[in-house]
Amino acid sequence: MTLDQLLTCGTPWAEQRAATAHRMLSAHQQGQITTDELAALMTDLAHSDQLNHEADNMELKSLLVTAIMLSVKVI
Amino acid sequence: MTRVIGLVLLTVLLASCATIGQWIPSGWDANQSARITDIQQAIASVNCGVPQAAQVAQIDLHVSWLIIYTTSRGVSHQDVIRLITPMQQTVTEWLTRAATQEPSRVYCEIKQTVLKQQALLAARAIQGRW
Repeated sequence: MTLDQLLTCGTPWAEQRAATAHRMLSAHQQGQITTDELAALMTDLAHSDQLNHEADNMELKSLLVTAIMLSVKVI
Repeated sequence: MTRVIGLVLLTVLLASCATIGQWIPSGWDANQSARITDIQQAIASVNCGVPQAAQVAQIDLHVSWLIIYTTSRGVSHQDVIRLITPMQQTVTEWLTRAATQEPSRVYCEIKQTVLKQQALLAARAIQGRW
């Protein structure tokens, strides 16, 4: 799957990430950012993936706690 | 009694896959919730048309505060540390770069966009807890 295809893949977070990557590459091609800046920004996208994963975990655990607390009230 | 059963069930469920410290979710914390909003505000207020170093230092200050505070809360808040660490890495790279040479305006704008997205995800996770 190419970056252009990801831009319209229907998954919001992937489209957002692809749009940011596309902007980075365009800016580099137009000489608006250096190669070093591009590398740093691409690394930031990897950091975003890690954060995304941790945020999903926290939300799932929060939902689990909510479900258990509701179950306890029913009992 | 039912509360005790619930708590035991919760502990067993969350501790079954790994160590307790890694899996027990942290609870609501007003200070963490306020600070992540400060971070979002500092990121949103960055003006890429003026020198960036001082502005990034302000973001870094808030992120560092959150890391130090959360570390002090102990092992039960390790999930917040894991959540914030990628954002700290993003900010630290910007701070280091801006300290030696003014980064390009477009780099600043993209960095601001990435950080806004990261901070929004972090805020939803931190403020969505019980």
